[in-house]
Amino acid sequence: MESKSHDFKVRSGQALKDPFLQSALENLSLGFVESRRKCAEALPEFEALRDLGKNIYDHTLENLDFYLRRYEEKVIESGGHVHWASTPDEACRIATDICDQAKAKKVIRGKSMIGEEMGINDALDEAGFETTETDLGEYILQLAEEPPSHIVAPAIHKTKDEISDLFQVYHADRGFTERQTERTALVQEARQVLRESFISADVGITGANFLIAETGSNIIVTNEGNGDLTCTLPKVHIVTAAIDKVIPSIEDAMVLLRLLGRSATGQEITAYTTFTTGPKRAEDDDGPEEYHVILLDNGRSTMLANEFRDMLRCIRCGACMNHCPVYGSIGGHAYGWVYPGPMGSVLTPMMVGLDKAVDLPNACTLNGRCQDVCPVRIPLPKLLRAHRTWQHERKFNSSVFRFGLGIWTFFACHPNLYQFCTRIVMTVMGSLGRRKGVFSRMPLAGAWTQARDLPTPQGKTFQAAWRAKQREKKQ
Amino acid sequence: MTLAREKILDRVALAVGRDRIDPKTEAALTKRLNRIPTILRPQWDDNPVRRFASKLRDVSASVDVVDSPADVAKSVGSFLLENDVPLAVAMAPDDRLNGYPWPEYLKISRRNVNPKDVTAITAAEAGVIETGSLVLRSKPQSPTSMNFLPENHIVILLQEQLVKNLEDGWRCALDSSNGVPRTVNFITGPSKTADIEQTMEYGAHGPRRLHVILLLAT
Repeated sequence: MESKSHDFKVRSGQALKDPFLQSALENLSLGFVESRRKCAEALPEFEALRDLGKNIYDHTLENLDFYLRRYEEKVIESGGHVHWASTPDEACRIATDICDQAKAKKVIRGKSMIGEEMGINDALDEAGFETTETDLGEYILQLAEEPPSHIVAPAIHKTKDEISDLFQVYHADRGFTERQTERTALVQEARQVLRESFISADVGITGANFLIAETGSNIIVTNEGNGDLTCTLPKVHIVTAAIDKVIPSIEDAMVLLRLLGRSATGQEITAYTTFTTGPKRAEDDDGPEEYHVILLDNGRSTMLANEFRDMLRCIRCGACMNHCPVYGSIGGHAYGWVYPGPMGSVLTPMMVGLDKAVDLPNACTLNGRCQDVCPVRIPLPKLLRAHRTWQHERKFNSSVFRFGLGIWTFFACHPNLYQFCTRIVMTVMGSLGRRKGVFSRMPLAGAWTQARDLPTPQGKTFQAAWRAKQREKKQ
Repeated sequence: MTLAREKILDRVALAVGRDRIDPKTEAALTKRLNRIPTILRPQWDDNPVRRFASKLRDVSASVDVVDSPADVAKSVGSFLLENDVPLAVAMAPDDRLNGYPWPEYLKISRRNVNPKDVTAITAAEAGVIETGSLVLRSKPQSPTSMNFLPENHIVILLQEQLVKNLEDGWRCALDSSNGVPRTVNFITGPSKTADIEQTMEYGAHGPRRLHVILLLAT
């Protein structure tokens, strides 16, 4: 998927003016945030599990070479194949080659963020395969030709009306000519249409929530069960996963599963948690004959070596975006690439280029809520600040910004001058605004005063007030 | 893509600060993989049967706790009648489902499901009290399609199959030689989606209804 992250400011402006998106985001923050809170409170062990989750990943990442090799051995032992790809293009080529060799015509997909990162649907389309997304949200977006706007709830920005229209247009040739307007009817219509895709597909491609080095298994969690049909019915199952999905053992997986559902949607466990190991056994009645895993790096081995290693603990629950005031105001599309919200603002510059996503690490108030709820305690604000430092060192931020920062740096390095100037500015502003008590317009701060008034400074400067207070204490 | 493999593993090794893993580290890491760590697991004091059933009901499954094999058969019948679904089922060719006095009006096919089947009956390997999850594994007697293709999924479970935590459930899914099956499913409720305007709908792709019959030990 081509990145539009450079357009962040324009896209977020549009998002703020979209009334449906605004109400959907409000529901999201009420729903997910509230159910996560209740679910976390109901489990006394939750905080200790978060520490354990962090430790499991720190240990795994410190020994990732060992666990990757062990995982590969175990997959091969169970009759599967492991393919390695440094870039999304390589990974797509491997996937289309496997489909070619299987003489496939139809391919079905279970929702995965790594698939979005790879741009696998476009690659499969270009190679001439008929590809169908099976997660309901992703399916709706495939029809609408839009990217997901949330990593867990991809289609939250679509209205029921829009979905009715899409289904009416695209399901007509499948015998569904009536326009459905009820939610239940829409879900049932999609179920019936997708049922045919499941049954006729030659290859099923899923992601993986975790890969287990101990057994060579992959884990998929869903509520719809689409991932299970995708990896059970077609004769070839391809798992696409990043190298940081490997964890040591089943025991470790259970710890992380307890964190994942609670943090993502406030569920103790999703409806379906599935462990898949190799192709079907000789005596089995169903299951795929071939099992392939495509392991994608795409910059992760570089992050492993630098200060962004902590980000590789991410289990893609979406809690950081659910709790982010910036995501809550503009939604996922404004971020312009696959991963939105705080985790996306850290990952996107690493994956599409530091100079191509300059605004993302700056679209953050450093309020820290993301870090407070991250199940594996990723220090997201620290990583966003690290990006800002990198940007400044490499001169990727705008010249106006650098000029402004330069002026501020000068004053910050000369405290006496700084205090003198603030005192003057305060006095002037205080006397100018005395009558109304607020400024409704202010040069250089037009965007700010457009939405609210700026209060007139009152009394002394903070530093002067502080000094007076200290003197009082001494007396 | 062997080249990519070497390149990635080299970069990873460089990032973790070693060319190759020395035998001592390798042994320590292998030991970590093989031990059963005494790690943190959720605890509770509730009655196991009550907790298991209520966890499942919380996620919109129906649960019948019964005392006798005859009641198991009755529960299947009343589930089908109440929900107005055809009185024909695909029943897993699993010996554990023999010996129940199934109602005569019920048309039973002992085989894997096909896309036309509306209801499947399977036996579980375990029930996890922690979360109310059913553990099912793929094997000839229990094909995975049965858990996902039909509209209705009926699962029969014995009280002695209840285990405490998710980890215990996993161990019940391994075969006698500790082999890992192709598929292990932890199923906790019917299929659902909130992808249209964040409102829950059941029966997205998998079963619309999950009916669990728990037979108490006598």
